[in-house]
Parts: sequence; C-alpha cells; structure tokens
Amino acid sequence: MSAATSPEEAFLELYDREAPAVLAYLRAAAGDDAEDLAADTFLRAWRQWPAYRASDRPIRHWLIRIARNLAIDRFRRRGRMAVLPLGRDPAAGDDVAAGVVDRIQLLAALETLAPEERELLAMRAAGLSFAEVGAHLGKTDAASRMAWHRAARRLQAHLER
Amino acid sequence: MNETDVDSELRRLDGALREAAEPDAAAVARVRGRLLGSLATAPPGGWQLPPWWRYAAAGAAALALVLMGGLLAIALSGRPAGQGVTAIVVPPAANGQGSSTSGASGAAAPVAGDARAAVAGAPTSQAASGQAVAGPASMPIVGNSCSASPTVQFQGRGLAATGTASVAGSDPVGTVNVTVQQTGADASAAVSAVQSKIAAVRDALGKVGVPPGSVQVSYFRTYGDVQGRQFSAYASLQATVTGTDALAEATKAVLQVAGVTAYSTSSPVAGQPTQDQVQNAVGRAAAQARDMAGSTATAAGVKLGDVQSIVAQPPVTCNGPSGPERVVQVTATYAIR
Repeated sequence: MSAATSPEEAFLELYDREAPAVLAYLRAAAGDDAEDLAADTFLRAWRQWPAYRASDRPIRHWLIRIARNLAIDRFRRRGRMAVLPLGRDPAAGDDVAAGVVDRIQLLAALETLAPEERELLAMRAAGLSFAEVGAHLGKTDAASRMAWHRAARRLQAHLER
Repeated sequence: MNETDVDSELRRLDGALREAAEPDAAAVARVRGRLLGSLATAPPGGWQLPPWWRYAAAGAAALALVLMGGLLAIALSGRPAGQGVTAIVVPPAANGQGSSTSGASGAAAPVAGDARAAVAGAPTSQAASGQAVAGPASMPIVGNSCSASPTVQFQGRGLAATGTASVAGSDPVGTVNVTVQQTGADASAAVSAVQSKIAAVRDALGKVGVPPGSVQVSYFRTYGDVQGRQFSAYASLQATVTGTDALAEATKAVLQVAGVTAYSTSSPVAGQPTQDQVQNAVGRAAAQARDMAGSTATAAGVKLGDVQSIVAQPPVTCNGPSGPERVVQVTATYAIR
C-alpha cells in the first residue's frame, strides 16, 4: 500500500477503506439518496479532518455519525423516509439479475419497518457490531441486540408474506 | 449473548442484508469522483456555514429590503437639496465567482470604455476582437440569484443606476470522468491491466479528437490484502471537452472501452465568453442603467446631468430562471441638476 504524503492522499486512503461501509449504511438507510449523502458525508469529514486526526475516535463510528446526521436532516426536510429502488451496475450481466431482484426486494422490505428499526439494520449492514450500534443509538449492547432481533424478525415476516 | 448468538435464520438475513447493501465499485468510484472535485476547493478544517444560515440570511435580507424600501419612499417624497445620502437601494450583488482574475482583469478595460459609450447613448464602436477571454476552463462556482438588478440609488447630489445583462454564447465545457479498477492475485498484473486500460481510454479519446493535453490521470493507487493475496489497482482520468456534441462523442468513445466506468458533467457557463460577447452584454447593461436612471429621475422630479462615473463589473455567474448564467453589471452615476 502506498504511503500517504499529503492530507488529500491520507483522506483518499480513508475514503477507499471506509466508503463501502458508509455507502452500505446509506443504501440501507436512505436508498436512492445514498450516493449524494455519501459525498456530503466525506466532504464534511474532510472539513473536520484536522480536528479528527488530533482525536482518537474510531473512524467508522465518526463517519457513520456524520452520515446519520445528514440522512436525518434530509429526511426531516422531506418529512418522510426515502423510496428505495436500487439496482446494481446496469452493465452487469443477466446472470446476476436474479440476485439483484432479491437484493431489491430485501432493501424494499426495509421500507416497511419503522425508521429506527430500519436504521438499526442499516448499521448492521454497514458492518457495525452491536456495541457500536448501541453507541450510536444510545442503547446498551444488550438492548441494541434485542432491538435488532425484533427488527430482523419483522423484516423476515414481511419477506415471507 | 455474543455476536454469534443470533439464531441461524436471522444470521442469514443479517448476511443477506449486508450483501444487498454492499455498494458496487462503480458507486464507490462515482462518489470518489465527486469528492475529488470538492477536495480541491474545500480546504480541510475550512470554515463552513451552519445549516440554518439560509433562514437567518433570508430574514436579514427581508428586514433590509423593508428598511430600504421605506428610506427610498421617504427620499422620493421630498428630497432636500444638499443633504448627503437620502435613499439607497442596495442591489444584492449578482455575486458568484471571483475566479479567473487574470481573465477578468483582461476584460475590464474594454468593458469600461464600452459602457461609457452606451450610457452616453452612443452605439458601441469597438471592433470585435473575436478572441476568447483568457482563463481556466474549470467548472464555475455559481453564486446567488441573478434577479438583483436593475437598481437605482440616490447618492447626495448624484444618482447611481445599475443595469445587468446576460452574456450570450460560449460553448459549454464538459468533463468526462473515467475510473478504471482491476483486482487480482498479483499486484503488478493488476497495475499493468489498469495501465493498459488507461492507454485504451486515451486512444479512444484521441480518435474522437480530444487532444492528449486535455486528458489527465488524476489519481492512481494500488492497495492490497496481503493475507488474502488480493491486490487492486485503481485509476481515475478526466478529459476536458468543449461543446455538447464533442462531449457526447467522447463519452461514447470511452464507454466502448471494456472494463471502465465513465460519466460526464458539463456546465453551460464553464466555457469562457469571447470579448465580443462580453462587450455586447456590457452595452446592454449600460443601456438598461441609463434607462432606469432617466425614468427614476423623471419620477422623482429631477433632471440628470453629466455622467460622473461608470463601473463595469467583470462577468460573474449566478442562478437564473433556466439555470446558471453569466452576467455583467454596469453602474453609472449621474449628476443631478
């Protein structure tokens, strides 16, 4: 891996490492707005970058917090959660079409959940542990795990309908 | 209970959700491309307006307009001679970019001469140079709304009128953004594959007439997971193209190269206008200023004297009714007899 020599390079390395998790969170939590919000998230992170580097906060926790605040702001302005249809690269072949349909159904099923349940599942989709999810939502590790169980069962029930 | 205590069915759902939400490389690259453009203009640690600034600014602007409207009404109803500033309507400047200062200052001298002729009522006689105003072809920063002028200010024994006009023409300048990524078990093979694709993209752009100097590799990096023996090479290129048709051709050519992701952006005000176009707009703005000054003076019961000063602003971009546009602004100050 190349050594970062400037703040821009260091930040882009951070982007390459963390963007998949942030985008995964936003795809599950915000649907079609995910890319817009991800760009805003990293731009805001860039502006706060010197302050962040002087701290010892976990990077993913910091980025997800920024993404979450931006998503909440956007939804609050619209007064609703975003609609979800989302697809993969349209250039992808037919062999992945069935998988894409499954993914779209799964993500669309998130729409049926309450916003806080959807957000909890989105954080898990971004690879956060229950302890990290709890830290974001102001819950204990055990409480976030229980809440996740309830949300996942509700999602499963919807998919089985 | 630990991470693995969830029952197997829900664990599968958890995994499926992660897989469903996992972004593809094209999405990551698209966001990266947008971010690259922003990093250059937003320094780390840069000051940022809080999200509620628009409401505060709108409130302040409304209050200022009410106050100034009142002042203007008082001034027009009985302006005592010899008093200082009796009324001012301040134009919210059609502000936008202070960019390309070299180009802007280059245009300023003929602009002022042109404006003087137009304000005095004479047709512009300056020969058309036909040359483009020098300046970088970067995407402009679009500022405030264009709906700021015309405005008129009484200033002591003078009257200042400001007119604006949009600058016509100039081909849109677009950028084709290309990302190339290759993953494999061998780092050097991944790098070679990416370099080959870059060469193919350059060839494709060259064939549709994009000069090599307009194509830049803005980013190239490799990274790897040594344990997993998985290496990736990633590069992004930008090609600057002038004209809508040329941009479409370049984008189409790039998309025919296998294994690349590309998208294009363009702006109708990214290209620089010719000096002719700027001068034409300045003439129209100056004529508008003159008309406004005349009609306001008549309404106020005063007569205009000689032109005391003319200030022509270099072109700036702002948000018009149909998107970004480039405008010029001319302020002419007349003596009042």
